[in-house]
Amino acid sequence: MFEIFDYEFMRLAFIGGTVVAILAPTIGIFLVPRRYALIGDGLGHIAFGGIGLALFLKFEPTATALAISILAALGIERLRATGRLSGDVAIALFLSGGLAIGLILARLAKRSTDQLWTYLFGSILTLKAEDLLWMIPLALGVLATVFLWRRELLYSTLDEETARASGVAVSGINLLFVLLTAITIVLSMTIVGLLLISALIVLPVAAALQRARSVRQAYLLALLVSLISVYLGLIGSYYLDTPPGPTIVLSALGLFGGMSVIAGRP
Amino acid sequence: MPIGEAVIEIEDLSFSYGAEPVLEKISLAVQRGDFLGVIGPNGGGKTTLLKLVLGLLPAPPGCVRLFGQPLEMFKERARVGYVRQRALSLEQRFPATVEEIVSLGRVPRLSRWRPWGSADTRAVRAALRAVEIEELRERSIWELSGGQQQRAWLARVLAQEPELLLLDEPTTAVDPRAEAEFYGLLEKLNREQGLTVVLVSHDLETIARQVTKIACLNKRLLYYGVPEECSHPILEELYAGKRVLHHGHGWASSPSPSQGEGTG
Ligand SMILES: Nc1ncnc2c1ncn2[C@@H]1O[C@H](COP(=O)(O)OP(=O)(O)OP(=O)(O)O)[C@@H](O)[C@H]1O
Ligand SMILES: [Mg+2]
Repeated sequence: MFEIFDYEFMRLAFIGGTVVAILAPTIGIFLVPRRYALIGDGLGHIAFGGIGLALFLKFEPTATALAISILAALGIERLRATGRLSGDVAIALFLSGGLAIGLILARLAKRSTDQLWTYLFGSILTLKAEDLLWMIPLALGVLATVFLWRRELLYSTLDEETARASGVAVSGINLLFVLLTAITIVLSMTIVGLLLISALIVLPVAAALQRARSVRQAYLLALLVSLISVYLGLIGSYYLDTPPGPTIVLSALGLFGGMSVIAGRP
Repeated sequence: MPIGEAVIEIEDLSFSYGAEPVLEKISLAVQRGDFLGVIGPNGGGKTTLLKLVLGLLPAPPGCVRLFGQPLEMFKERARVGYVRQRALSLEQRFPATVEEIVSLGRVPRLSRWRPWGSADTRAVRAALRAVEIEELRERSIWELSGGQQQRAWLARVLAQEPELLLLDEPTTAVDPRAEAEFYGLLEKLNREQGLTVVLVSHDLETIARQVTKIACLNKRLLYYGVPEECSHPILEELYAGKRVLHHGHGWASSPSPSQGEGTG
């Protein structure tokens, strides 16, 4: 059964998958209770717009997507903080705007739809060793930052008003958080594609929240669900010859469903 | 530090969210060791007043001083503890144990250069002990009764080791016995540890025994002084025949007939 590791691309896919599987719930555990899931989606679509722009201007696609979504993240957080971003409508603008711009610019750049497909649905099987060289340090940076600020992040997530009143730098923390979210989204885009990112970020956490009784438990459980989903999805896609991104998300959905059923029992 | 022992000084403070003023020309001073009760009808501006003092709403410059410093300059926010109205709105029933919740109270005392240490663990234990919920610390916050949850929020703010404590109707959804116990706890902290307490409540009756001062607030400050001299006519004017929603207790008319314990 381990012949799948005979292939270099599969080994790379597992490493890349592991990186994202660890990162996604680390962000998700704060994103879900903040009801930012849509912001995640919005940033993903904006990143896609960035890809289109990069193809048009012949820039490096991922780096451009990263820069654009970081800028967008800062903008979104500003709008949210001043109360001018009333959720749904603004996010919908970002969602459709990013996608439309990405598609139009890519067409103008005369790129084949195949290349866009990889950003929409992920390209974990075409990961190269060079990709991991930038993905892993960036991921470690995000993990370390979350670890160092975990208490502040948690306080601002659970009770923003009280945290602010007692002098926690909530605005800075929120800014830091959307930045980390933007980075995580661009990293995940290479694995599951932008259309399925929020599933990867939200589903394992949502599954864990049904069973967990403490924050620590919720995080560890979400991490476990996330890793299992990614591994199950990768192995499944290899043997069933299905696209890996959607297979990973379906695995997560399956685990989420399974855990809801278990949690439903007394 | 100018002006000796004043913890909160409010001078001629007016505030409005829109066109309609919510607070008008409020002036009062809270001294170290005071236990101030703030009462008034729904919409009287009690929460707004606390939020202004906490810097959660922008107070006009120069109107509020904390620990002798103008609010705009005041940086040591960890000295001020806050328990907000309806503290229990943790998003989506996010799971957390009592200890995890109470530990958050230490966050304002930490920094990159002063990470979590044994002093923080001790402060959390002491806070749990002070509100007598040590044995609940491993329990999920959602498994506690309303009164126990209320104690957990109090423990969280106590873990912060504040010198001034602002509580906004902290006994929401708590039965009268738990409420009396909770206020007893506050009184003890006030008397034994010299903690300055500002407590917002829906009516005088429930807090008259604990507080050393009372403020009657309905847009304007109708009375500020010892509770014994807060007379019936003042309370009549305060509530002006309005019905008061006692959060968590359903509807009741105010003032209640049994209030005001005569002149002491
Ligand atoms: N964010 C806001 N925007 C606009 N108006 C507000 C806001 N918050 C409160 N108000 C208004 O300000 C007035 C005072 O509200 P506040 O919450 O301070 O009253 P309160 O005394 O705490 O009432 P309660 O006993 O119901 O808690 C009310 O008329 C309310 O409608
Ligand atoms: Mg209020």
